[in-house]
Amino acid sequence: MNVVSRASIFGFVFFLIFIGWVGATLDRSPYTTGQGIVKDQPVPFSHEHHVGGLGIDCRYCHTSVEQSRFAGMPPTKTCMTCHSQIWTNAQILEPVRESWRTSQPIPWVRVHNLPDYAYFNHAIHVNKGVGCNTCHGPVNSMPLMVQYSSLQMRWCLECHREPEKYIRPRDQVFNMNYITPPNQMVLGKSLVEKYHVKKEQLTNCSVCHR
Amino acid sequence: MIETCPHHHEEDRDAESAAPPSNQFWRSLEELSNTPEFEAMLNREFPAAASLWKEGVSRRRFLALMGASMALVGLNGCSRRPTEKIVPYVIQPEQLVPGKALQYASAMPLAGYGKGVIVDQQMGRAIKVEGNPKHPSTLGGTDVFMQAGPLALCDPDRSQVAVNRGNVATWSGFENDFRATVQQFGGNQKVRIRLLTEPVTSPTLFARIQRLRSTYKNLRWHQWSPFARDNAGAGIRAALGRDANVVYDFSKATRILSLDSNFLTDDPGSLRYAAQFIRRRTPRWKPDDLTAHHESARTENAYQVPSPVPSAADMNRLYVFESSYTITGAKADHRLALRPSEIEFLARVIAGEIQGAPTPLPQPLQKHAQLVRAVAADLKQNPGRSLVIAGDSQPPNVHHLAHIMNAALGNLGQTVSYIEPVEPEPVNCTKSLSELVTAINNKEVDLLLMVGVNPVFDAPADLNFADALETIPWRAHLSQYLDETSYHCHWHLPESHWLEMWGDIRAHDGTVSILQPLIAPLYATRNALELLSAIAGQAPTSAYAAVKNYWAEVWKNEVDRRWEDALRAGVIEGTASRPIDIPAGQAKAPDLPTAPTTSALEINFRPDPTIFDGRFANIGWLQECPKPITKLTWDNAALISPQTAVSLGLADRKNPELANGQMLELTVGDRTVRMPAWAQPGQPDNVITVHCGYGRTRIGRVGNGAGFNVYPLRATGSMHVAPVSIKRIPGTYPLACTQNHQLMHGRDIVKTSTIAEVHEKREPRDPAESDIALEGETTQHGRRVKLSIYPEYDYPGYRWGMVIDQTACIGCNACVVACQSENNIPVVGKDEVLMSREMHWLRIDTYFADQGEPQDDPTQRASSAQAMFQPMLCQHCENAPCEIVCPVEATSHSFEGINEMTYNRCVGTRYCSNNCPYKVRRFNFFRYADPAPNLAIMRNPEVTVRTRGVMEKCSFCIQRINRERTEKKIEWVKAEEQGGSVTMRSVPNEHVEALPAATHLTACQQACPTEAIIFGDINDTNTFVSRLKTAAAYQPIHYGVLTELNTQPRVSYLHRITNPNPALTLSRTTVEATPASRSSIPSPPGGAP
Repeated sequence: MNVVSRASIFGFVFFLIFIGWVGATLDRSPYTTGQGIVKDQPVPFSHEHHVGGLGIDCRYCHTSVEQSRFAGMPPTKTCMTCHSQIWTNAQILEPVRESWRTSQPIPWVRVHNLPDYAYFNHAIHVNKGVGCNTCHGPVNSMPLMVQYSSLQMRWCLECHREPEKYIRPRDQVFNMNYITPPNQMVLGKSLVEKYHVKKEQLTNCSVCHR
Repeated sequence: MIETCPHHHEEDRDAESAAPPSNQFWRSLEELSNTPEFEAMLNREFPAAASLWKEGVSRRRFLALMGASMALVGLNGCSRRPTEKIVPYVIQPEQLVPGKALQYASAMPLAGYGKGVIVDQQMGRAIKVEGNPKHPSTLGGTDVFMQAGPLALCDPDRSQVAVNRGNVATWSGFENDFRATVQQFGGNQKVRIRLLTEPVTSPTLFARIQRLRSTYKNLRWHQWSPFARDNAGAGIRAALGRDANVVYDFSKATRILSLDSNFLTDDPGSLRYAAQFIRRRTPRWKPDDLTAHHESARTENAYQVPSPVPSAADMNRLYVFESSYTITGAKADHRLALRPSEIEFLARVIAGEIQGAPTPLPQPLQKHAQLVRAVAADLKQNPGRSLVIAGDSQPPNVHHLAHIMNAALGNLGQTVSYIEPVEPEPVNCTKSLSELVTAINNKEVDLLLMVGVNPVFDAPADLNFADALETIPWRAHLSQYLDETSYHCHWHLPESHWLEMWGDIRAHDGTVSILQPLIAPLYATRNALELLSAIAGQAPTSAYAAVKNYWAEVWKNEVDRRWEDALRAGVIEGTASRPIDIPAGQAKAPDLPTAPTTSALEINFRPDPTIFDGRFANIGWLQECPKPITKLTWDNAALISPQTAVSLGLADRKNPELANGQMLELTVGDRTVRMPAWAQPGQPDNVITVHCGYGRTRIGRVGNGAGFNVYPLRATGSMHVAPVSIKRIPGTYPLACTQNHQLMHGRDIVKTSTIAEVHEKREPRDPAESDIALEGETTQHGRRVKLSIYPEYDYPGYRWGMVIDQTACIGCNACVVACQSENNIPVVGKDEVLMSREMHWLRIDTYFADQGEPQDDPTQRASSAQAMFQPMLCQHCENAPCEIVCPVEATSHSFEGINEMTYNRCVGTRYCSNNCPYKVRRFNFFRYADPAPNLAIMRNPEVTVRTRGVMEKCSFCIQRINRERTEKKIEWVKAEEQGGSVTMRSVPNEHVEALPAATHLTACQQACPTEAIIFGDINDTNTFVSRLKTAAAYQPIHYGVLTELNTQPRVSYLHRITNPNPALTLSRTTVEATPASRSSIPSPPGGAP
C-alpha cells in the first residue's frame, strides 16, 4: 500500500518534471522555432548558386542593409537585370517574368520571422561588425534558404551579453568565408572598444522591445 | 545619513498628510465640495474600473475562473506563428530606402485656409503629420486636427463609392447624368446652376470656378462655412471701407487685449500667433531672439544659454474679456468673464479712454470700472507695442472698435497689418447661403452642386435648408462621408482626403502651399478640382495637371525649378498677400447700441475644440481627446456657471457639481434642443455656451449619436449669440469627463509665480540649500540629500530628460493627439472613459486656482477661478516606484535612465499602476486596438500595437531615441574610420562618455506649437534641457512634481509665470468694492445707486 502510494506520489512528481521537460524541449525545437526548415517559395532561389557560385555581394539585392532596419528584398527589376539576358526561357523563372509583365510583385515567404514585439535593426549590426553569416549562417552553401539560428531571445542574448565573441572587423562583415581568428577574444574586445559597443546597454529591454 | 533620513522623511510625510490641504489649486467642483462619495472615489485607483464585475464575484465563481485560467494559460503558447509574406516592389522608387521614413511637405486645408505640414511616410503610408517650420501659419507647430490626419485618411467609414439615388454608381455615370441634365434644362447657356463650396482660397480651384462660370453662363457661386469669419470681415469693411485680411504680430506685442477672441486656437494663423505670444511670455528666450527663425530653435537645438528672466515690461500681459472659458482666457493675466453683449460696452469705454474722449460705462458694468481704466492706461503706455483683437463671435462693431483702438495706439504696421484679401472673392457666408436658399425657394435653381459642405446639418435653422434642398430638380454633393446632406441629394460623390490629393491653398497671410498626395486615393474618390474639371465640359484633367498648369502659367519658363522648390519647401516664396497702407485714425466709431440687459439668459455658439464644426465627429482620436477646459469627451453639454446652476435649481450652493448631467431644455425663439448641463468654473453667470458639431446622425460608427446637435438653435440673425430660455427637464445624462481621473489628493502640483516674484527670488542661493532636487537627489529640510537603498548609478551614456514650461503650455492638446498617433494609442470609447480607462499616455491636467479673497462657498470660488494647464506624463523616475513592484520585471530601468515598459513580459497585475504616484500608467482592459484592416496602414510600424491585458505608458518615444542613437552611432563609427567628423556632445566631467550629440525631438515636443516641452540629453551641457535643469537663474522657478517621495523624476517643470498689472493686484472682491466715484470714468447720468 505504502509502496503504491509512494510510487504514485514520486511518480507524479516525475511526471510533472517530464511534462516540463517535454514542454521545454518542444519550445526549443525546430518545430517551434522554424530553424532549419525549408519553406516553399514562388521561385526556388538558390543562394548557393548566386552567392557561393557567382560571388554576388549580399548588398546587390539586399540594398538597404547598411542604412535601414530592413535589409531590403530585391524588386523584380533586380532579378531582371540578369534574367532578361540569361535563362530567359527557364520554366523555373516564369513567376519572375510574370511579375515583370504584370507589375505584380513576387510574394516571397518570410524565412526569418521575428515576433512583432521584437525590433531588429540590420544597419546597426552590420555597421558595428556583426557578419551576415554570424546570424544567417553559411548562406553561400544553402541551395534553398533556411533559418540558420533559432532566433529565440536566449540566442540574441548570447551576443548581446558578450559581443566580443562574435564581432569582426567592419570590412569583413560581408565576407561569407570569414574565419574566426584564434585570438577572437582579444580582437573582439578591442573591436568592441573601437566600435563603441556599449555592452551594458545591449541588455536593456528597450533596445529590442518597444 | 541613510539610516536617519527615511525616518525624517516619514515624519515629513505624516506632518504633511495631517495638515489640511491648502486647496489653493483644485481640479473640479466635486473636489471643492469634498463630499464623502468623492473622498471614496479618490481612494481608488480606477474609480469604477477596478471592479470588472460591478455586481462582484462569488468565491465559487472566482475559484472556477482561476482554475480554468491556470489550466489554459499554457495553451496560449501553443499557437504557431502564421506564415508571413515579403512583398517587394517590382520597380522600387528611387529615393525609397525600405524601412526608413520619407518626408513630404503638404498642407492641411481647414475651412478654406491651409496649414503647412510635413508628413512622415513609411513605405507609401502616411504615418505621422508634423508642422512645416517654413510655413508662416504653423512655424513647425501643429494642432489636433492636423495630428488626426492619418486616422481621418484611414477611417473605415469614409465614403468609398459614388451613390446615385441610393444605388452604387460610377463617376462616368455621374458625368453622363450631369450632361443629360444640363441638356434637359436648356444647355450650357440656359441651365441655372448653383455651386456651393467652403470659403475658397486655392488659386487653382478659383481659376477652375472661373472657367466653369464662363462655360455655364447662369452659374452662381456661393460659399458657406458655419464658423466663417463674417463678423471680422464686416468689421474690417466698416473700419477700412474695403475688404482686407488682418494679420497680427504677437512677437512685438507687450500688452494685449482680447475682446472675446480665442486667438490661440480659432484663427487660421493661430499656431503662429500662439508661438509668437508665448515667445514673448516665457522666461526662456532673450528678447532679441524673438524674431529668430523658429526652425533653427526647433530642429538644431540652437537654443541660447538661458538668459536672465525678462522684465515685466518686456514680458507680455494679456487681458481677456470673454463670454466662455477658452484656452486664451486660461493664459490671461487678467480675465473677466462677461456676457457676450457686455463686451462691446467695455470695448467702447476703453476706446474712448485711448482716444482721450472718455465715455460713461453703463450702470450694470460700473463694477468693472477700475479694471477698464487700468487696461486702457496700460495699453496707452505701450503705443506701437500693444494689440487689441476681437473674437469671431463678437459683432462687427467690436471688430470695428478694435481696429480704431489699434490705429489710435499706433499699432498699425507694428503689431497689426492689413493685407489684400486672401480669398479671391470674400463673401459673407451667412448672406451667401441665405441668398442661395432664397433663389431655391423662388425656383431659380435647376442644378445644385455642393462641394465639401454639409448645410443640411450646419445651416442656420431659419433657412430650413433641407426642405429647400428637396425642391431642387437635380442636386449632387461631394463629401468625405455619406452625410446628412448626401442623403438629401440625387448624387453623393466621395471626396478625397487631403493626404491623397493634389491641390493648392493659401495660409492666413496669403502664402500658397502645394498639397501633394502621400498615397494614391484609397477608394474611388476625387477632389474638388477633379470634379469641377470633369463637369467643365472639357477633357477631364487630373488635379496634378490642373495645379501644375496653373502655376506653369504664373512661372512661365521657370516652372520646373520653382515647382520643385515649392514642393520641397512646402510654401511658394513671395505669394503672401500684399500689405495695404491704411492711414491711421481714418476710421470712425460706430454708433452706441442700447444698454446691456442683465436679466435674460444668453446662449453662445462656439465651434467644438476637438471636432470643429462637426466634420471630425468620426475621428475617434478627436472625440476622445478631452476638451481643453471642460475635459469632457465624446459629448457636448450646455456649459453654465455654478451660480447659474444654483439659480436654475439644478444644484445647491454647497454642491454646484450636482448640476452636471442634468437634462435641460434650451429654447431659442420657437426652436428647442434638449441637452445635459455642465457647471463650468469661470463661466460668466447667465451665459450658456454650447459647442456645435455634435449630434451627427449620418457620418459613421464613431460619430453617429455622440452628443447633441445645437445647430437647430442658430439662426441667420443670431449666428453666435442669442437670448435663450432654459427649462429643467427630468432625467440625467452620463458625461464622460476625465477631469477627476488620476487626481492628486489636493497636493500642490502646479506652482505659479508672478514675474515680480521671480525677480525677487533671483538672488543666487547656495545650491546645497536649494529645495530643488537635482538628479539623483532629494530634499530634506531644505537640504539636498542623496537617498536610496540601491547603489547609485552614474548614467555615463545618454541621459534623457525633459522640462515642461507651464508658462508656455496653452492646453491645446496637440501633444496628446500627436502621442496617440506616434505611439499607436487606442481609442476606448465613451463607456470605457466613464470607467477612467482612457489610454492617453500624455494628458493635460487643468487646475483651477482661487482668485481674490479666500472663500468657503464652492459656488463663489468657482465663479472667479483661474484655469491653468499641466501636461502630465510618465516622469521616468530614477527611483521608480513602479519598477520595484513588478513581479515579472516587465518594467525596468534602462542604462539611459528610461523607465521602460516591455509589453511581452507584462502579465497585467497592475501593481505598477497602483504604485505610481503620478497616475500615468494605462492598462488595456480589453483589446482596444481596432483590428480593422483600414486602420492597420495608419499604425506606426516602429511601435508595438498592444493587446489586451498589458500595461503601457509614455516611453519618451523610445523608437525615436533608438533611431537617433542608431543613426548617430553609425555615423560616428564611419566618421572615425573614414576621417570624417560628427558633432559630439559637450560633457560636464570625465564620468560622462563622449558620444555624438543627439538632437531628435519627442512626438509631443515636435507637435507643440509653443515649445512648452523641451526634451534632450541632460548629460550634454549644450542642450537646452540640461541648461534649464542646471542653470542657477532657473532654479527658483524649476521644480519636480512630488519629489518629496524620492522618486527623482526625470521630468521637471517650470513655474507658470504671470505678469499681472500692479495697478490691479488688489483682489477682485476689493475691486468690486471700490467706490465708483474714484474712477476716472464718469458715471452715467443718474449716478450710482
